[in-house]
Amino acid sequence: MLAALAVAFGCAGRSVTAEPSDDDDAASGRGGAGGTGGRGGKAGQGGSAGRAAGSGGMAGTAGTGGTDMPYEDPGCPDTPAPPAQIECDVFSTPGGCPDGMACKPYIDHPYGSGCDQQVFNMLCVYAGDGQQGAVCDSGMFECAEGYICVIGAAHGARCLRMCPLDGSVACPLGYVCGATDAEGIGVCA
Amino acid sequence: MKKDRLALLGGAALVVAGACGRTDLTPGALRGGAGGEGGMNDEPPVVECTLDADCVTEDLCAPAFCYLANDEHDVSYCATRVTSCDDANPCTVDACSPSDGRCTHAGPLDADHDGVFGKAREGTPESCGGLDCDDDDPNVYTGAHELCDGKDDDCDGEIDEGATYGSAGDAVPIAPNSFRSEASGFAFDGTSYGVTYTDTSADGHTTAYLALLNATGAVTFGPSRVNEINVDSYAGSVATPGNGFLTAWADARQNGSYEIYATRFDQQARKLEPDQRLSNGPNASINPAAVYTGKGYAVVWDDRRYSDTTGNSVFGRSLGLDGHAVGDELRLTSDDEYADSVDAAGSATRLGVTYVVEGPYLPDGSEPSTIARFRSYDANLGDGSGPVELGIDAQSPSIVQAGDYFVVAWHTGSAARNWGPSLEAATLDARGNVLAAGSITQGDLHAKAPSLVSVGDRVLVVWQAIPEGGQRFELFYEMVSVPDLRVVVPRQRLAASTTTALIEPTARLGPGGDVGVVYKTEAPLQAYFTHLGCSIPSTVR
Repeated sequence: MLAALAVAFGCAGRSVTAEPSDDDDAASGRGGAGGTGGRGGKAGQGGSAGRAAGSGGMAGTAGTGGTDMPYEDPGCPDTPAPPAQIECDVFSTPGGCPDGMACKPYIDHPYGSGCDQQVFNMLCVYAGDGQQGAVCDSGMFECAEGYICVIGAAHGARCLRMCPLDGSVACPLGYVCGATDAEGIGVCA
Repeated sequence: MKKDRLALLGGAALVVAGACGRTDLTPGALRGGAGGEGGMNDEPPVVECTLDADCVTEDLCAPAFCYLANDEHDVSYCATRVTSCDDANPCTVDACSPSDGRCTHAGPLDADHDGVFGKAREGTPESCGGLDCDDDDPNVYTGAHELCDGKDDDCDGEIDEGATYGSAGDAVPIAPNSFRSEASGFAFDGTSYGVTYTDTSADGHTTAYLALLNATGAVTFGPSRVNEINVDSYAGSVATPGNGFLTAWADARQNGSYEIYATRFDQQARKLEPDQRLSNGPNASINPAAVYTGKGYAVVWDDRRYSDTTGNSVFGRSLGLDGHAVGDELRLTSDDEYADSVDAAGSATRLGVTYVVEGPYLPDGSEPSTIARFRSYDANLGDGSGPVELGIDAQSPSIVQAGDYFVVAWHTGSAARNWGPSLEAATLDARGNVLAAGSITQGDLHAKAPSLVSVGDRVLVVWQAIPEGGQRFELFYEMVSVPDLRVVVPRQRLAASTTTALIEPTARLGPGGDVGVVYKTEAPLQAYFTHLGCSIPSTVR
């Protein structure tokens, strides 16, 4: 089952990276511990423990089918950012990944009461062949090296070329480098 | 003419006295008089009398008299006779004073007390000679000075005629100390502009803020954090009821993906209540658009909870004036619509929603086109109409309500090439009937990101474009007529930079007819405010 991890442009003109699918996890060798229970009918998220070729995380407990859960503002205390898993550099050539793999940003979003933090990662995943504008409904696995799967920048989930937000590398004429929810990483859109 | 009492039978109606509100009457003796209105009962009690003095008059506009016995009444009885004040002049308002029974004949009307009689009110003819085309607005009358306010102030049938817009000052950074900032929601509540922006620190953490700006872009209140969470926080859409702001945004604090939240701020940028979560589904809910409806708020967003089955959807939820949700989230698009890029506008009468859907796959396997669509709803997101197709190859549509109509504008292109040489637009009525459609800009290599401001019967369009021969995106504006989308004020440059692209403008009508615009620069990524000043020559009368 597809579990799109989407980095999307929709937040204030910002793209959001797509959630990786179970396939993405398997491709990247991210073995899965059991996922946390889903809410609203969502299956659990695959775990992120293993580095060896894994078979994808176990599905979590099915959710409650969309029951409206009132959110209570938790009044979050400040906490330090959890350590990121950085195994490569998305803007380097080569990016430090084995042949056939590409460096992609990946974000673990929390499932807690609202005070947890997301975890940013840079991981080597198998590269697809999707280039600018290619559909990536199955997640980042479909995008070629140098491209990531985002939602919110164009219709649907699309592979778009990554660009550094510091302006050091310009997008082609007609494109602008728009921010995503991956730190420091934009996409040409 | 208005009559405060209905005269029957040639100007006099007989009403059995005391039929209502009297408890000391002899019940059920006789039926009411000929031609009289019944009381509260089918056969009301009758008060017997000998002289008029025996009958109690409670309202001198309907004095009670003693009527002699006749064929229908075998005893003398009290009944009222309503005074008719109809002077047969259709341009007056006829009334009777209950305290003394005297008739008054006021008019022609000057309901707003601006010294100019109204032209017409409901039920009266146009011929009464008044020269006030809006007798409910003391600033509108024949002879008034036309202002930049989207109204026909001088009653000549034209709105803001002669108005010119021009850049009224340098651009102002909204968050000058920010490492990176991006403006998002923008609204004017009659006192201040409210703008939300995403601030990114040097370590990459993002925080959403709301700041209030004055007419020139100076921060007057705030910035205030939109929320107190530890995940990255992104600014969202802003709506205003006229005395503060509601903002709706997406963040991924829980549920493993992005959800939609909302909260409100007062006119000093103080947060009024905890965040309220509006969406609850798997996968991302993003890109909220908030609208004040007059009865509350509506928030619509792109939702991917069905992305692995029927595709992306547009969802929405109604909120009360207190900012709390009233009812469940609603799916606004159908199973066969792969929909996103939603925007909304409206009022208490009708909410217009525009979005993009994916067209059918082509036989050769090439990428399907995208299609802009329109639906409308009541203020509670019920009574939906549509969908109505507006145009193909459409991207990121924007919508504004302009009087009784909606105007939708979008740029063309595809996911791979997300722009076209011109902006397209359509004018629709509240039920989705298309009045006009077509290109509204020309002269660009790439045009995109239109933002629309309603100015009476016209719409100001602000967009980003690389003009023919240009090297990077600049900002432009022009004015188009709502009914036919004709360009009535040609394009002019709003802002440009020799070093960076200026992108994603959002424009709102501000004080005195000025138009505030927020946008961002590409590198460095920073949010800016600028404004267009509006002026009308004093010769316009």
